[in-house]
Amino acid sequence: MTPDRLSTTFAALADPTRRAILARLADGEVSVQELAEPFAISLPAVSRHLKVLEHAGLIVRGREAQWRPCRLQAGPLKDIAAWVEEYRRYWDESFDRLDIYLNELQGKEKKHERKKK
Amino acid sequence: MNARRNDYAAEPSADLELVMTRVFDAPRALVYRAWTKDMSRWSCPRGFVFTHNEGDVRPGGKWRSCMRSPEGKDLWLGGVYREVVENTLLVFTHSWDQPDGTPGHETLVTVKLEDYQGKTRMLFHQNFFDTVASRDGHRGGWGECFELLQEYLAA
Repeated sequence: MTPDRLSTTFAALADPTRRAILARLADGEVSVQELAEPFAISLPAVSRHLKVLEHAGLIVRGREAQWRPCRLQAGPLKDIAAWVEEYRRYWDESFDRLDIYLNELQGKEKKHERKKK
Repeated sequence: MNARRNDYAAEPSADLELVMTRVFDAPRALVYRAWTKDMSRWSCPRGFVFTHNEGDVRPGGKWRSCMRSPEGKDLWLGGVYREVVENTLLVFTHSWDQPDGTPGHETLVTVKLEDYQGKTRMLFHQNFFDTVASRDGHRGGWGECFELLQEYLAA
């Protein structure tokens, strides 16, 4: 995945309403009308949020004019999970090296101490 | 089909973040020094070498590093220190440069050091969303995304 795509996904997720919409869609397809119900915002406002989510590839929408059901797409979320996992490996390896490095440092210091005695 | 749920706007239970704990057989001051002065000695993937490393370790101070891959490709990364308490706490932003040279998605790293049975316990925490730049108005709320993630990865 390109970094730009990742940024787009993060930007789309950086809003509590959009995250709530995604959580709602985890239950299955829902119409825009139904999605708007629990929120104290207008239908056009919900549509704007859906456009952002659609642009990020997090949802797909049906073509029917009246009933445009929204459906969750997991691809970008999986990409984020993979990205987080890469970070875990990166730090894990680094901390192994840190462990060795700290031992080296102390090995040297301990030798000095022994010399002093 | 599941029953209609109306509780999905509720507060999330967890954040999407990386939490790691390690115990090092070394005094806190030494671990702190490794984080602030000697990062180039350990903090990079196998086969990579640091070609640039600078950091102004104080709140608001910037850090910048470059590591060279085994194939000779330079990867730049950097961020800003947010909190600094000597031998105890470091909080800094962290991001990899994108191919066009602009900073990529910013994450927030917290490193806490504490004494633990004559050794040092390090609590490492990387938050992938809740950085200073995106904190206002967006605090919390990642739990449900994380749950989605788990569901879809399990599927």
